Amino acid sequence: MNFLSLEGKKILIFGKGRFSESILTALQEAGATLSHITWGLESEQIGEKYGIPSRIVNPSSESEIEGAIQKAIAELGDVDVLVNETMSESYRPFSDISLQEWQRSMDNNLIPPFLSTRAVSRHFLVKKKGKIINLVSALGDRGVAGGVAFGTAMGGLIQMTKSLGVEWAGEGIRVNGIGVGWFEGDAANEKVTRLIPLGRVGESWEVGPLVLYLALDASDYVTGQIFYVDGGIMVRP
Amino acid sequence: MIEKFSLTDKVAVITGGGTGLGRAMSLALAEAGADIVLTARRMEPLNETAALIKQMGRRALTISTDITNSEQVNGMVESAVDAFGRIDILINNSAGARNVALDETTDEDWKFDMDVSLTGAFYCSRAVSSEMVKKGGGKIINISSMSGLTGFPKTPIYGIAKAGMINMTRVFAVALAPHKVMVNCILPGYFRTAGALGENENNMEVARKMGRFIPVGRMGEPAEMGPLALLLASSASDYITGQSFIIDGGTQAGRFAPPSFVLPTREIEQP
Repeated sequence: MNFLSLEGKKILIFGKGRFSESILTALQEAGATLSHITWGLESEQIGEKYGIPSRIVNPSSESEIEGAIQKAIAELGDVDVLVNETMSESYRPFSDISLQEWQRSMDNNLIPPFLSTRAVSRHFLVKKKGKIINLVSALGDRGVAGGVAFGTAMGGLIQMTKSLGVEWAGEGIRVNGIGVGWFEGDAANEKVTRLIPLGRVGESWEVGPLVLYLALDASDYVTGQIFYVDGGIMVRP
Repeated sequence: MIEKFSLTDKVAVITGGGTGLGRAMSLALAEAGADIVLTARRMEPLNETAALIKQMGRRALTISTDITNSEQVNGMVESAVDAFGRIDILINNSAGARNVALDETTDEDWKFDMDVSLTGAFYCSRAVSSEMVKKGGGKIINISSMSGLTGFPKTPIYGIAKAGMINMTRVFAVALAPHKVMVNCILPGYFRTAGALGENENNMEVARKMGRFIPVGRMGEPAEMGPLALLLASSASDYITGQSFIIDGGTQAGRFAPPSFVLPTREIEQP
């Protein structure tokens, strides 16, 4: 299955969250060279486990993010793919959300991928090739009580994915998203799980294969799309 | 994780597997280890694809079937199971699209496109899924089309049938989920096939001209369907069902302006 190989590809994984290891494992098994930039506490642990550089940045600092990305790219020698795992969840009934919390949700979810994508795009636009993969939540497309702030931000990231897919289609850059449904570690209870057609929540590793597919040259004809992995809940009756 | 993509010891049935996207998907699945049952009405292209699969060291079986006839479909499924013992993957790829203006369509046009593009896929899904349920699971991939989401007027009935296929995907996905049969749909945009270009299938100049209407600037190559089909055919996608996957060079996301259009810069309002 040669077409599943990422041999020779340099990939930047940006952000933090439950799917980091699933993403890193899939990409590393496919042969890619990786570099990690995060604000998560597990940075050192990830760096050691995968034998890759893992840098810590302040997610709201333009200069830190740009600096870390330039350093990572210099070290890799090039960059072919950027994976943004930048979801920041917060839940509260809408009328109880303070202006500050609302602003934070927008900032936490939309500023990091804006900065990382813009920084990497300068390289992609020069070489007329590149791939950006954004992890998003199905809450950016569906409503759940208590999830308005996070869902609104995710809707923004979904639209950023689609719009950029079109803006850069002619530049050889592909921009796609992976939309996650209910996964282990989420707040899904028995009542929720019963509604998932496949009868279970997802396991973190199940995000990896989609990231791998969207990182391949073989997916170069896909852009501006969100591929959902949700156990079927979005099509349930 | 990579091993989740393996199809070793799996058996796939692919309708319309002799040509174009069907052939490309058959070869990709065979490369991943599957044995392939190819079916269509015309045997010649099927046999050509089968020869390529055998060269890869996999088993291939060709069965001539009119998928618009449910008895023939049931017979085809029986023969496939007799030969290979099981069916793990079904790709509903056959389609028919008559070029006819809406106000000139005949009842027979309607019946032809609906039968070949939708009814046949229903018959195949029904027959194969019952085998899958007996064996404890499987994967069904429906090949719909961008025409199923848009108002493409040159092949109007085909577009209606392909829209039906998108919801057929959801209905089967929910119904079969308890049996571990995942059902998904691929919506290809413009690909360089006889289906899109007719006799100009291999005329790169015509393909290049078509590419100007597509955001990424080119038509898709049939081989680009293979890896997506493999993802959806393998255990790598065990938590994915009922979904539609668009592979169209940005056509759908950009369906609001021509590919080269850029909004003129406008400054943000200051408070």
